[in-house]
Amino acid sequence: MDFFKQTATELRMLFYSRALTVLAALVILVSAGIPFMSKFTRSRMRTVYNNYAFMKSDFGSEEPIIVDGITVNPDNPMFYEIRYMKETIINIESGSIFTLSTEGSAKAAIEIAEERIGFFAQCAQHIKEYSYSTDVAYMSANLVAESYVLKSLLEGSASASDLEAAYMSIAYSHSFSRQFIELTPEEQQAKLDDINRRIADTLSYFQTKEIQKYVMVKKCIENDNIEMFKMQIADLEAEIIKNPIKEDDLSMQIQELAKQIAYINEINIPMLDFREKYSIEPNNDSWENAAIASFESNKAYIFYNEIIDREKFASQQYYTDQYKTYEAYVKAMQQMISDANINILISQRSLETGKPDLAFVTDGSRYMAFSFLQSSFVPTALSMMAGGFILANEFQSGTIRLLLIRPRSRTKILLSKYCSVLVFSILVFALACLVNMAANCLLFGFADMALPKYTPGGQQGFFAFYLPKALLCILPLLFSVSFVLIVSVFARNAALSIVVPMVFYIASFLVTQTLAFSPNNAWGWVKYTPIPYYNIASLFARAADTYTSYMSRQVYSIPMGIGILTATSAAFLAAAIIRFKRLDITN
Amino acid sequence: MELLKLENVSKKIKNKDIVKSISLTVNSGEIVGFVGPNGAGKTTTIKMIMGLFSLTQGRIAICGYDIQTDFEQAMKTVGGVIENPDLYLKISGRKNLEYFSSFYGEAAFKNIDPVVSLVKMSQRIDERMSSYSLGMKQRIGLAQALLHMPSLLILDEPTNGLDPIGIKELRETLKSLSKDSGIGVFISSHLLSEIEIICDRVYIINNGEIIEHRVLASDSSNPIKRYRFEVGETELACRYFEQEGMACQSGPGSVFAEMQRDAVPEAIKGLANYGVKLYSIELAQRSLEADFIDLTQTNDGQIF
Repeated sequence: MDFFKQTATELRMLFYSRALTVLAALVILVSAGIPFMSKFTRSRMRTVYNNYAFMKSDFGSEEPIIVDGITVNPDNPMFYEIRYMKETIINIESGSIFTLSTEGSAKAAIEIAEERIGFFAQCAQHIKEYSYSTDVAYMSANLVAESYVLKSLLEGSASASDLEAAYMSIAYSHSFSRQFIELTPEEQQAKLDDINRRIADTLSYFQTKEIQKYVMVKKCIENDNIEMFKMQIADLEAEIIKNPIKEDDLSMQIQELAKQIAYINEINIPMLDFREKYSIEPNNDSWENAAIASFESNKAYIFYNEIIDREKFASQQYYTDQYKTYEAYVKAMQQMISDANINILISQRSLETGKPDLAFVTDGSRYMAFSFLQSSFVPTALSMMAGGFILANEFQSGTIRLLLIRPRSRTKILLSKYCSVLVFSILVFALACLVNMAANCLLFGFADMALPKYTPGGQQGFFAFYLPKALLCILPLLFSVSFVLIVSVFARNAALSIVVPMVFYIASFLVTQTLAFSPNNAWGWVKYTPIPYYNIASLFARAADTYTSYMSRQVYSIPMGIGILTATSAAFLAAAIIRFKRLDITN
Repeated sequence: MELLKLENVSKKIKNKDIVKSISLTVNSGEIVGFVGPNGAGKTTTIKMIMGLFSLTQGRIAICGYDIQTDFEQAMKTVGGVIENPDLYLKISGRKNLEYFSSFYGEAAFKNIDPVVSLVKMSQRIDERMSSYSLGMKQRIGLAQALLHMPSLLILDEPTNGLDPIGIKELRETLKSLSKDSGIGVFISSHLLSEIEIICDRVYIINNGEIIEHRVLASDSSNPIKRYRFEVGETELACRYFEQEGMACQSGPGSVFAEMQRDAVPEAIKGLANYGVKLYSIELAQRSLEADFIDLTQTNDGQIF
C-alpha cells in the first residue's frame, strides 16, 4: 500500500517538471497531428497510385485525324496507333516493306491496317484517356487482323501466302499456317464467328464499361495466350523427337512454358473470376483491388519460390551465405510460404465477406492506428528523459541525500521511482495511441474500426488484434527505463544516463537497418541482444512493408524479443538495486 | 534518554581511515556540538548516522534502533540536513515539503504549516525553490527535518549561508526545540564559536578521531574550571594533580589543572605537602576556541 502511494507521489513529482510535461504534451499533440498530416499528404499523392495517371499522348501539337467521320484528337490514347497504321500504309504504298513483294500481299496489308484504323477509331470514341481499357484495346487489335485473314480465306479473295505476308507484317502469329490455313472451312467459319463476337464484345465493353464484359474479353485474351504457349510446347516436343541431343535444353523451355500456362490458370483466371463475381473494376484505389493485388503477389511468390533440394542448395553460394544450413533455409522458406498463404486467405475472405482486412484499407482508421505503433519510439525516448530526470538527477542535484534519510529502504525508494517512470511512460504512450486513434477515426471514418481482421483460423475484431501489439510496444519502454536506471545508478550523472541509452537506441536502429541489408546475415549474435527488438513494432507484419522490417522479420522473432527485452530489463533492474543498496552517497 | 549512540564507529574509504573508532552519545533535550576542521570526518560520521554511508566497523543506534538492522524504524525518529540543503529547485518550497512528508504519513502533512512558520518562511513558501537564497534554502532544509517531529535532529553545518541574524534565529530555534520539546540536537560545524553558546557538550574531531569531549554546562553552581599554578617543580605538581584525579597539563614554569572552585584550597595545601614551591595561582579560563585551535593544529595544520 505504502509502495503504491509512494509511486503515486513520485509520479506527481514527474508531472511537476515543466520540461517533462511540455514534452509529454508535445508527444500527445503530435500523435493527434499525424492523422491530419497523413490526410493532407495522401490527398496530394492519391493519383500516384493510379498507374495511368501520368500517361499522356505526345502528339498534342498535331492535327486531329478523322476516320469514317470519327474525329480522333491528338490527346486520345488511340491517336498514336492510328497514326502509326497510317504511316505503315504510306510505307507499304511506297514499296519500302520488302516482305510485301506481291501486289496481293501489299493490298491485303493495307486493308488489314485500314481495318485496324477503323477498330482504333471506334475504340477512341469511348476511350478518352489512358486506363486499363487502353490496354484491352491494344491487345484486341490483333483480332481485327485475324478476322480479315479468315474472311479472305473463306471468300478466297487472296492467296494464303499473300495473307501470311500481310498478316505477319502487321500482327504476330507463332504459326500462321496452323492458326489459319490448316483449318477446315467449317473450323475457319467457326473461328471467324468467334473472333467477330469477341470484337463486338470488346467494343460493347468500351461502350458500357460493364465489368462482366471486361472479364469475358480478358479471359479470351488469356486463352489465346494459353493456346499460343501450347502450340509452342507442341513444336518443342516435335523438335525433341527430331533432335534428341537437345532434349535437356528443350524440355527446360517446355517447363517454362508450362509454368506460364499454369500461372495464367492459377493466378490470372481466378483474379478475373474475383472481378466478375464481386464487380471489381481494375486499377482504381478500391480496397478490392488491393485485395486482388495481394492475392496475385502472394500467389506469385509461392509460384516462383519452390523449396530447392539439398544438392542445389549446397551448390548455390547465395543460399549458403544467406541461410548457412539447409534446415534453416527450409524453415525460412516454409515460414514465408505459410505467410503468403495466410495473406491469400485474407484476400479471399475479405472479398467473400465484402469486409476488407485492415491491410487493404491503407487510408482507413484501423491501418493508420496500427501504423502509429511504429512511432512508439517517441514515447520511448520520452521515457528515457523522464528516467534521467527522476533518477540520475537526484544524484546530480544532491537531493539524493535528503531522499535516502527517509524511513524507506533504498530498494523501495528505487523501485517506486522506477515504477513511476514506467507508469508515466506508459500513460503518455497510451494517451498518444488513444488521441491518435480518435483523430484517425475523425478523419478516416469510424466505420472502418468495426471491420474485422482475418486470421488463419477465422477473424477477430480490430481491438483484439491491436491491443496485444500495443501492449508489446510497452516492452521497449520497460527496457529503456531499466537501461536509464542502471546507468543512473552507476554513472550518477543525468546527462550520461539520458545520452547513453539514447545513443544505444539510435545505434540499434542503424545496426538493424544495416544488418537487414547485409548479404550473408553477419553478426548472427545480434539476435540474442535487445538491439533488434528495441523497435519491436517493426517486426509486426504490415501491408506496406519496408524492406528492413521484412528482412528483420525473417531473422528476429517477436517471442524472442519478448524474452530478451524482459530478461535484460529484469537483469538491469536487479543490478541497479544491488548497486544502489551498497552505494555510499558521496555526492 | 540516549537518542544517538555511536560505538567504535569506523569508516574506511579506499583503504584510508576516514573515521577511526568514534564513540559518542546524544541525549534528549541536549544540544551536542561536533566540531572539527575541514576534512576531519564530521560529514562522513553524519552520513553514517543517516544511512548514506555504510559502516566499516562499529554500531550506530538511534532511539535504540540499530540503523543497520532497523533502518526504517531508526529513520522515523530522526531528521536532518547533510551538507547543503539540496532540495528540488524547480518546484516550490511547499511542494518539496509535501514530497518529503509523503514518507511519513498524514501527520507530517499537517505539520507543514507550523514548521514553515517556525522557520519563518510562511511568506514565500509557495515560490519556486530556485528563487530562494542560500539562507532560505537552509530554513527549508531545517523545515524538512522537522516535518515528522523527530526526537533527534542532525544538522551538518547549518549556519552556512546564514546571515548573523539568521544564525541567531537558528540558535534560538534549536534551543527552544531542545529545551521545550526535549529534542536532541547533534550539530556539526567547523566554527566552534558559532555553536559554542548553545551546546551543552562538544565533541572535537580531528583526523577522524575524537580528540576532546567537553561539557560546557555553565549553569552548575560549582563548575570545573581551569587554574594556572606557577610552581617551581612542574613535573612533581603534575604527578600530584594526576594522583588526585584532576586533569593536568604542564607548561614552562606553570601547570594547568582543572577542578571545582571548592577544591582549590585543598590543592594549595596538598601541593605544599608534596614539596612543590607555589608562587601564584590564577584562573586560566581560556576560550574553548583557543583550545580547539591548539588541539587541531598539530601537524602544522595540515589537513589529513
